[in-house]
Amino acid sequence: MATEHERVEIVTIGGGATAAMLAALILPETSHRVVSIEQGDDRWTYPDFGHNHDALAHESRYAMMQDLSQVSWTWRPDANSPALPMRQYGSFNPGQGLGGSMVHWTALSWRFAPETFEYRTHYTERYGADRIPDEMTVQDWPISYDDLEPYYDTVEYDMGISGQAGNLGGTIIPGGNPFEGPRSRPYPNPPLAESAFGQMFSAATKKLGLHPFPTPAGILSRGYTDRFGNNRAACLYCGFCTRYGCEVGAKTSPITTWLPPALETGRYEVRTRSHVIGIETAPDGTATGVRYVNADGEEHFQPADIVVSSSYTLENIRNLLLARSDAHPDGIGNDRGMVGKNYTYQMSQTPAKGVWEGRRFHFYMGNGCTAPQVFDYDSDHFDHSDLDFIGGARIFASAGQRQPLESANGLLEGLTDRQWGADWKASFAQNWDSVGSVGINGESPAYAGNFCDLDPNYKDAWGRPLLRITFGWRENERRMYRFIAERCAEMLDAMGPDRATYTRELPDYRYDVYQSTHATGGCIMGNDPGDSVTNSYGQVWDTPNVFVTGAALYPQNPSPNPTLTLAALAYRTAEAIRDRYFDAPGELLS
Amino acid sequence: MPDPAVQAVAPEGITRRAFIGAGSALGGLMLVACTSDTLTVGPEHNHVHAPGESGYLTGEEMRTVDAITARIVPGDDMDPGARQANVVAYIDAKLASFEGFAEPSYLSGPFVDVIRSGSAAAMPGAIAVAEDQLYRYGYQSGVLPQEMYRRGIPKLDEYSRSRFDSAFADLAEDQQDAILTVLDDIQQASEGQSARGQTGSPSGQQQGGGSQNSGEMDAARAIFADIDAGAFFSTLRADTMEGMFSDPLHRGNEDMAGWILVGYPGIQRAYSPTEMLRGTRRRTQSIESLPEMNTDRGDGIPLEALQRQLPGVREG
Repeated sequence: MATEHERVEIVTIGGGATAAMLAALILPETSHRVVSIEQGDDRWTYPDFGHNHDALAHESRYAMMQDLSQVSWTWRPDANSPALPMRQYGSFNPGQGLGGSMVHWTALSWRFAPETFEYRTHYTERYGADRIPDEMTVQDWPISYDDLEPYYDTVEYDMGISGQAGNLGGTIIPGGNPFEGPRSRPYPNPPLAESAFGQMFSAATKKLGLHPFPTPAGILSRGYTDRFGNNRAACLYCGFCTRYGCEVGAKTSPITTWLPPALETGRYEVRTRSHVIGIETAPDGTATGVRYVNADGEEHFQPADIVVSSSYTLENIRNLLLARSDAHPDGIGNDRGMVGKNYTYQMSQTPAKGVWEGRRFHFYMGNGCTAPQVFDYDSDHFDHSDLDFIGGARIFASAGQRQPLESANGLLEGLTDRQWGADWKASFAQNWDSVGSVGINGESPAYAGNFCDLDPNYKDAWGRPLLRITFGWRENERRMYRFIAERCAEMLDAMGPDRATYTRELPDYRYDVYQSTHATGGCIMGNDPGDSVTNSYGQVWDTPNVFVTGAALYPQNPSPNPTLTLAALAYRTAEAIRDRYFDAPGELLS
Repeated sequence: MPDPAVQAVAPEGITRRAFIGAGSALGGLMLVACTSDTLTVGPEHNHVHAPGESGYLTGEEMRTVDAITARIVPGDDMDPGARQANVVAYIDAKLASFEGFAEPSYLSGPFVDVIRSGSAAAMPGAIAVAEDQLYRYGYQSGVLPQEMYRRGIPKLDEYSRSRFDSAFADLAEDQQDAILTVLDDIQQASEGQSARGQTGSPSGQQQGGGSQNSGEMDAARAIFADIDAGAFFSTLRADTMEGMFSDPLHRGNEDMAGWILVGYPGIQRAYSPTEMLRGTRRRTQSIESLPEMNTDRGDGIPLEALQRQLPGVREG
């Protein structure tokens, strides 16, 4: 018999970023209670991150990542191929523990470009409907950049983003990203320190007529106090950032920012080491709460007025698919078969790499944001009229936080014949800090053939089916990559390496190599229940007391990293729940 | 405070050689033509490890693994490699510490049937994958590391004897390189990359003609049989790199040889924006030398206040 807890207004599946945001924004001005069920442990800046600079534990042994022995995900390249589980970490690294993946993140903090929000309309109007391949199921977002701008603005100030504005209220500001949408305020903090290699990239790309600018970072470039009263220290450029928790709280996370004001109300509770095994529903299909298994293996039930699936993209999709009942035979949100559709990814590749013999760039310092970016070939910032693809990629110089251990597994790929032996060793000793690259994060448009459903063969630790991903690149992306890779080669060549290696063709997607944790889509938002799972608030069309947060809501993956946008969306959802939802509980917000 | 990089005495817990190595790595910042290894001088290396001592591997297995690591990252006392960094001790400790994998792993079945081109279809009900697609899915074999070592090492010796009439550890270095090169080629071929057409050592010394390569790959595959020869090599390679370049805390990377090799100052608390542009003069150090955090941040907040774990978060 499950232990039943006292009913609360909101229960969230996962104690990660968006759960903490909802709690921090909803609780101080209401009398509501929020409970989050978190599969991982609690952890705090002090003392847990004070002594964590251990690459073996964090990068080779995935100290902060979800426990794959409990839950994994299967993948197949297409519907005719077998699906096999991710038995060890490869393509993506979702985190677990208090604060979720936004504790170990790299902290690039992008606003999406205005045309991103009207994707299909934009490409159709500018180039004609026939430019969008038939199988491509890209669609418009249900909100515009202008709708989201006030939330972007608030989130940037709460996070203390360090960056250089490029478009202030329509005025282009030199040194920023000239392609960004108009912003109402500049960033609250100046850009992070520059790296030696980044300076070289900026100089070279400027000569090519491009527009390099510093990466907007959720990492403080100076001491900062936010509106919640969190008093935070600046980045130490220690070189241990992605896959680590920040020991001074300079990298924005739920621990630095939203958990303190949420917990201070006394009405937010996070239950750790507890795994949600199901969203329960009443006969009418309304969600009643979540069932979970705690650290001692005991079953509990937490009733709630609202259930928020605030997990990683893949688990959000699975949470809905697993919530099968007479009222929702195919799962919550799936009455029209839309859950799992428009699963997309991020094309993360390194098309051009060079060696500057004898130079030392000090790549082991800094973080993943201490590098400049070029957005001239991102999105539709360049004319696609005479090109054979749509979409683009952000292009960047290698940043910091390089570790010898991680470098030994591929830094010299393409530059030495073998990745071991005397020649490799000599080259590694000579060039470990002299190899730099030009990398990309590119778009992933949605296709009917790329989707997620439940796997028929593999189960998690509680006997529930794993999620099955069906995903592969298409001809549009191969063409896009070919074009972008040439631009990367031009940029690298303009930096004058002594030797270089180029990858000019997009390799087939593979599950075993880390690329990006920016899996998106699968519970997409839209204007119409016929082509989406939720409305613009992440409120599930067929079960309005269930909300989804996070990048699972994105209709397709624009190239820039998803976190700032999912935060802005969570802020908008929090405001709607706080101010309007309980006026008519169970009704769709408009 | 004196600049630690120019202090005359080596700090406690670090050998003179490592200390000089660290200094030379720093020298590399200013004398770009001088790499750390060309400047590294010091007393003869005299590390001692006791084979089989409280670890997983037997003494004979230790000897073989040590020989493999010594070809993956070769070295001598003037230019330390995996043997001098005692990587075998790291590997032995790792194997002894984890019955399964050191990293989180999903190990529930069913495991896959691999379909070689031209062979019959898989058993009914099994999940079958074409051999040339398997690499895209990552690790799927179900073979655990201890088994990979225990069963793979005799196969390596058997292949070594079939080709050069001795166990791997007793072969000349160029013969060892030739053996490992075949295994590396098998691994690369499994990832859809053509083998490099030669079975020479990585330093380019030809051990045989290009036409011999696929024959050697087939011979090695036949001997390794149900142990994937390519996976055996990549396991050894990955473990060697871990032992060479991870923090000495984990028992490899002795005297921080791997870090000094590349000019990495190891674990530091902070760098300044100026250091990001111009480099640093810090002495290479392990996480164990990292001082405690300066927890007062200059504003008098007591340690206990900073260590607060906010109420409301507890085990469910």
